[in-house]
Amino acid sequence: MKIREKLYDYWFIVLMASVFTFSFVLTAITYEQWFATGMVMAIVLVAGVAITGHIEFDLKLLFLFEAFLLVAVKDNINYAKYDVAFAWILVIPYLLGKLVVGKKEGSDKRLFYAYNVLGFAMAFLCLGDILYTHIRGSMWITLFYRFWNDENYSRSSAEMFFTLVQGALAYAFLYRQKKKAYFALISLLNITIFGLMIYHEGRFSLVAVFAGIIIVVAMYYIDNFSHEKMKQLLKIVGVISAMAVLVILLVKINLFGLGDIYNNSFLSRDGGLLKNVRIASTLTILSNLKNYPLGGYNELSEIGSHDMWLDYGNHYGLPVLACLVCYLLLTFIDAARLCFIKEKDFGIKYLLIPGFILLNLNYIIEGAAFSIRLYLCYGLFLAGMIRAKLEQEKQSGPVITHMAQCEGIKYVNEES
Amino acid sequence: MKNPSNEIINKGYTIIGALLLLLYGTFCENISLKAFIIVSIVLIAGGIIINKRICYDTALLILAQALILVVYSNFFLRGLVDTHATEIMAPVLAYIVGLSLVRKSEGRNNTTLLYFALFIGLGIYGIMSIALTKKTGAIGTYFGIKQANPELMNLQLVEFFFLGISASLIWAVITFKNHKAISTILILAAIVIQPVMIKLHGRYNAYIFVVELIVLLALLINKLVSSKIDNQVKARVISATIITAIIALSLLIFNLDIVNIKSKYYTSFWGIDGGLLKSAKFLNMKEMFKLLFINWHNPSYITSNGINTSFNLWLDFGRDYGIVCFAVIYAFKICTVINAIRLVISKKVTAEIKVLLLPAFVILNIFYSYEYIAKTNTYLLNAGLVVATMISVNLKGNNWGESK
Repeated sequence: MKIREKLYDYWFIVLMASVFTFSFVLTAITYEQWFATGMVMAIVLVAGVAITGHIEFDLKLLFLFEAFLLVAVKDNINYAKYDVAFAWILVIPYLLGKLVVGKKEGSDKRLFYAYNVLGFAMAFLCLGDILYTHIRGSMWITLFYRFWNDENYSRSSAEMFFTLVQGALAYAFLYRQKKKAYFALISLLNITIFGLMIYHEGRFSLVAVFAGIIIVVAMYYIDNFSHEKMKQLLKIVGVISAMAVLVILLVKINLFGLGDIYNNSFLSRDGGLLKNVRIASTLTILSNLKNYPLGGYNELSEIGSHDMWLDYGNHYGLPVLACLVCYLLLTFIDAARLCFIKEKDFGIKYLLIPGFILLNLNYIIEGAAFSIRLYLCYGLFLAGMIRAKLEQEKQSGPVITHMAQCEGIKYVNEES
Repeated sequence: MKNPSNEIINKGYTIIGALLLLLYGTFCENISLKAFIIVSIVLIAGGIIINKRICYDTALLILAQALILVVYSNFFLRGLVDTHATEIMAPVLAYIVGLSLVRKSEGRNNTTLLYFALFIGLGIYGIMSIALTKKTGAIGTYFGIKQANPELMNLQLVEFFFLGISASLIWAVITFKNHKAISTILILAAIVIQPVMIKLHGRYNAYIFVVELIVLLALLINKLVSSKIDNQVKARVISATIITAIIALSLLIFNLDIVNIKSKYYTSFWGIDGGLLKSAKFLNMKEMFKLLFINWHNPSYITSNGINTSFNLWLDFGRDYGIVCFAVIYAFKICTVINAIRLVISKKVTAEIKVLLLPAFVILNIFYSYEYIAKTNTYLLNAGLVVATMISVNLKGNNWGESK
């Protein structure tokens, strides 16, 4: 047994090295190398399964496998020879993510390493692109050039690479005493990204930093649920919402010229945050979905659906979309269940869930992960990690259902 | 801890299931798809409520995958809308119904009841169609006629209905002591079917009948020898040699063409297309298998002789829906075959069940490998799937019907 654990440690180091390498060279992978990439992934996976002995089967895997099999079948018949490899490329990261957790002892540490290796590789990749763009010179401020192959891509899709680092900000702040270097690195990166995104007019990143903090605060109040805490929360929410209303009013009234400043800045482009054209087009498509069983509903609006999952449905028909939506719902249910598992100290879930939600939010509002399908590997790896953590929690402790949760709350209340 | 009310519910569920299977067999062609789907969903829901769990196995997942691929390629790749999605997905429902109906707990096994409910129903349907043909006398010996809508029915289709009864001959002889009446009826039916089928030029029933006679002969010789010799191993060796000698002798007589038996065989309907073992269908299947890899992007190809089918159900799936679909549905077939082999080896399953299920499984598989009609007439496939579920449940067992 000891040999197996030792082997697992070595395998984990290999996995981390390959995750970093893969994440960092991802945009350099050409279509001819997709097959080889998938094969390398498969070899790592097979070695991992052989070492750990077993892998838990779950329903999400079924939907994921089904969706990408159908995608590959259509690609195969349409002579898209190189795309067929995605049938297994887009399933393996999920399984690898499940293998990261391993045994109970040290699982948090491994999850921490896996998350950060992935997040830093992504962030460094995009920061490298931005640096290269500044050296090279770009015609548009919203256009970046890849330092691997000098291809250009828009800023909106670049923002996906920063989500994990931004999600880790609150966690790093919570552990600022223990992990000083980590906190310094994360905050430095976040400040850099914030500044760069103001310069390059990226709005998602600006919202994402605050969204990550809000998610962590919400999780803290879920963990420490009591009447006093709720009152405290209500006060905070009240103050913040009052301030927000005040700001919105000021912008609406156009006091001190605030409205003009907002309307003339990049923040209000395409209708701003709440009245964005993307939301309108997505809603139009969703309401007309049943008229397009074969896909092809992106013709309804100029900018398309602007949603990665809907783009899959547009290209491959509604069965694929149904499978993917089932997968997406189940991942969010898993994340919510992980949220509701109580922890007294700030556990690893404070790191995993904000990053996961921000990344998936980016998938939902951007279609970049469809046109470059390898982008989806990040989200799948993270989803697998969350699922495995959840399975481990359920195995070790009592099974926490919603009912048990409610009973636990009652018990705590009676005590206090 | 056995709960009496639970017992009654379980028994009632089994009996209702058996009755519905009998009805399904008796009116197989005339049952509308809507009724089939509604009834099977109700049965599955009842099974979930009674057994408190959803039942599935690996083979079911693979079958569902294959049929989803069929639907996907039909609707979204080839633009065909004439086939209904539910029609293709009906086998999955049949498989789940089989899994929820068949039950195996300590000392109780309803496999036999369900098996005969299904195949006696199919037999009744076959007899009725033959009788109708005789009455109208329209086509003569070569075709039966469908019971309700007077269209031509293929010869192979008529044969299918009696395969289950023909295959149960060994079971009927071996367990003769336990239920004399049923066994007598079954043996009589199996014998009566043969001349009728021979008159209609059907071969599958005769083949399974002959094979079963040989097996019964082997068992008889073994019994006779072991009554005289105490050593069991020795007795088995002696009886095996006797049987091989008999078979070799008959083959020798056949091949040497004594009393013109070989030429008679090849000139009669038995030797049409080269008989069973040297059938011309093999060449066709071989060519179709090669074409499958050449025309993976272009389904609905034909052979160089202009034949648009491979005469093999699984290869025809590949021909119509692409090579991936063929691979997946063949994986399903291999899964069921592995289950059948494990059933033979398994020591938990009684000899009674083995003797009942194996011949039926083998002859149905041979039928599916030589005829493609089950692809269009889905109820033929459903009968085979129910037999596959019986094997699966008897092998892996379930704890249903035992209150916890």
